[in-house]
Amino acid sequence: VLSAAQLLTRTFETSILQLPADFNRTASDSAVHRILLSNDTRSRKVAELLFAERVAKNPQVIGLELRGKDGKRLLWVAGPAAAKTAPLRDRHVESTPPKGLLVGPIVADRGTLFYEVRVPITTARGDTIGTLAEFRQVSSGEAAKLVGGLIGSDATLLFGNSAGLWTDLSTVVVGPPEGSKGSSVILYTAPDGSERLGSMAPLNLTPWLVWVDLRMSAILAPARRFLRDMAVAGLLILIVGAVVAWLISREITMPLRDIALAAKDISTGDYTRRVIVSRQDELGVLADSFNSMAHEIEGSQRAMEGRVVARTSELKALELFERFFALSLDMLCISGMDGHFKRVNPAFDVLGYTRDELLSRQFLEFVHPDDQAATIAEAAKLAQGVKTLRFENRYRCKDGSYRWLSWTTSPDSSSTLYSVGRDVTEQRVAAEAIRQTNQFLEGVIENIPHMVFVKDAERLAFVRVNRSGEELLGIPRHALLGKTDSDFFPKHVADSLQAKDRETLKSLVPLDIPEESFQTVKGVRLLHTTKVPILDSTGTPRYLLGISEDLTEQRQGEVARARLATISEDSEDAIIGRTLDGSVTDWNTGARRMFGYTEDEILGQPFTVLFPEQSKKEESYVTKRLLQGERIPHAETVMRRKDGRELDVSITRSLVYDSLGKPLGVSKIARDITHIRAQQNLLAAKNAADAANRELESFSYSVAHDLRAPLRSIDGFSQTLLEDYAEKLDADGQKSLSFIRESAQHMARLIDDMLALSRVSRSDLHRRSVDLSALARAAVSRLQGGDPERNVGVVIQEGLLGEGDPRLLAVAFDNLFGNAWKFTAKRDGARVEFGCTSQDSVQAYFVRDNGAGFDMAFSDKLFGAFQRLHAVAEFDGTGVGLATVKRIVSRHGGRVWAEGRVNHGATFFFTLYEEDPLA
Amino acid sequence: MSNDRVILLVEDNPHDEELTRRALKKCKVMNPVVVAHDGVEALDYLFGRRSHAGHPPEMMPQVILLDLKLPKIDGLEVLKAIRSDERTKLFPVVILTSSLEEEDLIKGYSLGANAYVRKPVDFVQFIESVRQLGLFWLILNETAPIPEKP
Repeated sequence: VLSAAQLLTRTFETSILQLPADFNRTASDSAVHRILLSNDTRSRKVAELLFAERVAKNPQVIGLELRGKDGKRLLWVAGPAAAKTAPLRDRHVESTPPKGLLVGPIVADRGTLFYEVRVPITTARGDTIGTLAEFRQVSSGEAAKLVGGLIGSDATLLFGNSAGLWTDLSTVVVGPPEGSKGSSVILYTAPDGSERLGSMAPLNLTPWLVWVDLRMSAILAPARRFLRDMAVAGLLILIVGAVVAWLISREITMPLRDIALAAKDISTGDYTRRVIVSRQDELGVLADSFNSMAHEIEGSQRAMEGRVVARTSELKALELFERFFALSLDMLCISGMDGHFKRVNPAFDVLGYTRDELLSRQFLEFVHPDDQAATIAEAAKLAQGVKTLRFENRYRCKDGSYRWLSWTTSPDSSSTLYSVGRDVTEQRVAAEAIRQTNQFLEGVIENIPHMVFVKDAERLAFVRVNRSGEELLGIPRHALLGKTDSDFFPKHVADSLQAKDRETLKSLVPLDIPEESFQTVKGVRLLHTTKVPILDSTGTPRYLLGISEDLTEQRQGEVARARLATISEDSEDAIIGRTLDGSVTDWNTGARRMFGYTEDEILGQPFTVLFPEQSKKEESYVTKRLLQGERIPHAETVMRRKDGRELDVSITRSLVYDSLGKPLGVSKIARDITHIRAQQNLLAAKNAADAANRELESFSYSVAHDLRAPLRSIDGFSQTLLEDYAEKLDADGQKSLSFIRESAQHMARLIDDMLALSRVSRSDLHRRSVDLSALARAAVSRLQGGDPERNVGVVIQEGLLGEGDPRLLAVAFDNLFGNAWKFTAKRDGARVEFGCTSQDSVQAYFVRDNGAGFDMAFSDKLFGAFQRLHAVAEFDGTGVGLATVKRIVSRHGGRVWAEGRVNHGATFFFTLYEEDPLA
Repeated sequence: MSNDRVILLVEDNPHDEELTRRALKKCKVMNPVVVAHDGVEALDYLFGRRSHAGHPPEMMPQVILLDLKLPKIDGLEVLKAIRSDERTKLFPVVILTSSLEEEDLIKGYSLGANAYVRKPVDFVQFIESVRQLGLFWLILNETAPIPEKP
C-alpha cells in the first residue's frame, strides 16, 4: 500500500508539472503584461479574448483571473462550469503573488470541487507585477470511475487536503481515519465494520494528500487458503497422537482428548488455544509439545500473513502502475545512470524502434548530434538530484527522421530516472513556421525604403515603425513605441496629423496625402503619405497603417534639374549631349543658333555631322581618352554648321555618368570663336606690319645717314680736285669730275625721294578738312619762287575743300605741280590747271598741264617707283614722285589715274576716298 | 670781333672731317679745330677726363659741331650730357649731320641744339653752309662767359 501511494504521487506529480506549460504561456502574453503596466482598454480586450479561448479549450477550467501586484482583481473570465460556482467571484484571494507555480488546496463549493493554480507574472527584468490564477475543477465523475476501474473495487483512492477535505474525484467523502497521518501504513476498522489497510502520502508541489486503502479481507484471502492447508497438517498430527494415546494408556485418554479438542480449535483458526499441562509424564510432555507446536504455528502463521499482505499490495500497486504506464500517451520511461533505458512504455513506438532496440543502446545514441552536449549536461544535473523540467531535444527515429521531445525527469535516491517525454515536433514545426513567416514579414516591412508605421486605433499611439521610419523621424524605435504624435510634434502639427488619422479610421477608406511637409531632426522633409485603416474580423478598425515616401530629395532634384535646364537653355554656348556610340541626345538653343539644326533635325543623329572630315578623327580620339579617365582641357577645333560653313569653336568635353557612376555619354560645351579667331589673325597681321615698319624705319634712318656720307666724299673731293688741281687736269678730266659730281648729287636726290616716299608710308594719317585750292596755290608759289623766270599760266579753281592729311596732301601737290612745271618747261604758253570734276558720283580732283604728255600705252608704269617715261637728259627726275603721290592718295582711301597724249599734255586725277571710309 | 677759341668738331667719318676742315679753311675760319671721333671722346674733352684732364678754360670750344650718328655715344646723348652739366650747358651746339629726318630735327632742338645744319652732298653748298655757320657762331654770336671751375 505504501509503495502504491508513493508510485501514484510520483506519477501525479510528474503530470502536474507538465500541466501548466500553456498556462505559463498565457501568463507571459504581452497583452497580459500591458494590462498590468497600463491597464488600457485595448489590452484588456485582447487579454479577454485570450482568456476566453483558454477557458473554451479546457472544460475543467472554471475561470481565469488576473490580479494586480496588490492582489486586486483586474480581469475575470468565467468558463461554462462557472455557473455552478457563482460565489467564486467573491472569493477572498491571496494578496501577494506566489514565488512560482502554486497549486492551491482542493476546495468544495456547492458540490463542485476545484483548486486554484497561480503563477506570478514577471517582466523580462524579473520584477513581479501580478498574478494569473486559474480555477480548475478537480475532475469529473468519469475520471473517478476510470481511476476506480484501474485500481479495482477493493481499493479506494482518495485525494484530500491537510485541512481535512477528501474526495474520490467525484464527491466529497469521509477522509481516512485519525492517526493515519504520519504513519506509513495503518490497519483500521472502517465504519462498515470491515478491516482495511491504508497508506497516506503527500503530493509534492501541492498541498494535496493521496490516500490508498485496501479491504483486509481482500488481502487475507490467499493467507486463509494457506492456513486451511496448515490445519489439515494439524489434524494429521492429532490423529497420530490419538492412536499413540489409545495404544499406551486409557489414562492418557483424557489429556489426549483435551489436546484433540485444542487441535480442533486450532484447526478452526483459534491459534491461542492451549491445553492444560498438569502431568509430568509423557502426556505432559506431549501436552507441552502440543502447546509449543501450537505456539509456533501461531507465530509462523502471523509472519506468513504479514508477508502475504505486503506482497499482495505490492503486486496490486505494480499492476496499477503498469496500467498507467501502458495507457499514457506521453512517453514514460525509467532509465539508469548508466545511460540505458530500463523500461519504456508503448508511447515510445512513435520512434519506430522495438523495445529491445531501445533498451540495448544508450539513449544518447538516439539524440541528435547537435543536442547531445545539452543532453549530457542535463543528465549531469540529474545525477546531482536536480529535476529536469521540459528539457527539449531531438530523437532520431528508425526511419532517420528526428522528433522533438520535451522531457520532464526526476531522479530518485537510487539514481533511477523517471521521465515523461512528450512529442513536441508538431509544435516546434508550427512554431518554426510561424517564426519564419514573422521573420519574412518583418524583413519585408523593415526593408521597405519608405516609412511604415502602425498606430492603435484607440490612442493613435505607435505600435510599430520600421527602420526607414526611425531614420526619417530621427527617433529610435523604443522612444516611438507607445507614444503619440503629440509627444514629438508641436501641438498644431500633431492635431492635424491625428485629425487625418481619425478621419481615415472613421471613413474606413485609405487616405492619400500627396504632399505634407514636416520638421524633423533632419530638417524639413516632404512626404507622400497613405493612411489605411486595418479592420478586425468584425469590421471594427483596430489599427491605422501609414506608409510615407520621402519626396524631399526627389523634389530637390527636380528643382535643380529645372534650374540647370534653364541655365542650359539660356546659354549662348552650344550645349550638346550625346551617347557613347554617338547619337545626339541634348541640344540647347545656343546649339540651334550656332549650328542651324533644330532639335527635331539633330536628335538621334550621329554627332559626327557636326564635324568636318579633319576633326572627326580627333573627336573619336578624345572620347577614347575621356573613357580612360583622362580630363580633357578645353580645346579649339573646327565644327560644321548645317549650311556647311565651318566654325572655329572652343570646346569642352566631359563624360556624363549615371547614378551608379557608369559613363552614359559625353557632354560638349562649344563656343563660337570664329570672330575671335579673325581678330587674332588681324592682330597678328598688324604686329607683323608694325615689326616690318620698325625695320623699315631703322633702314630708312640708316639710309639717310650712311648712304649720303660717301656721296658727300665723292662730290666734295671731286670739287677739291677741280678747284685745287684745275691747272693739272685737261678739259676731259674736268668734265669727268663734273660727271662724277652730277652722279653723286643725283644719287643724293634719289635717296632723298626714296626717304620721302617711305616717310609717306610711315607717318600717321591725320584726316581733317583741308582747303585744297590753298594747297595748290602754295605749291605753285614754291615752284615759282625756285624758278622766277618761268612764265606759266596757272588756273586754280577756288574753294575746293576735301578731307585729308594736309602735310601729306602738300607733298602730293608738290609732286603733281612739280611734274606739270617740269614737263611744260620746253613749251611756250605753258599752262597748269587745278580743278574738280565729278566722276561716277565721286569727286575727282585733277592737275592738268599742256606739257610733254605721255603715251597712254605706258600709263600703268607711271605710278611705279623709279619708273620714268622720259630720259634724264630730257627731263630730270628720279621716278619716285608719282609713286609718292599714289601712296598718299591710297592712304587716303582714294584712287589716282592719268590721261595724256604725247606732246598734248597730261591730266592727273585723284580722289580722296572711293567708298565710305567707315564702310 | 675775332678770337682763337677752338671749334670742337665731333665727327667719326675722316672724309667728312677733312671736308669740314677744308670748308672752314675756304671760309677763312682760322680757329683751331679739335676733333673728337666719338661721343665718349667729345665728353672726355669737354669734362677734362682721361686723356683730356687738366685743360685750361681757354681750351673750351667757341662752338661744337656735332654729328648725330656716332660710335659709342651718339650725338643726341652727347647733347643731352652737355646740356645737363653746369660747366657746359651754355655752350653753342650746332648739329651738323646727313639726315633730315624729322625725328632727328625734333629731338635735336628739344634737347637744346642751337642750330641744325644738314651736310649737303654738293660740296659747293657745303662750303656755303659752313661759311654761314662760321660767320654767325664765330663772329656775330656773343658766347656766354665761361664759368669758373668749381
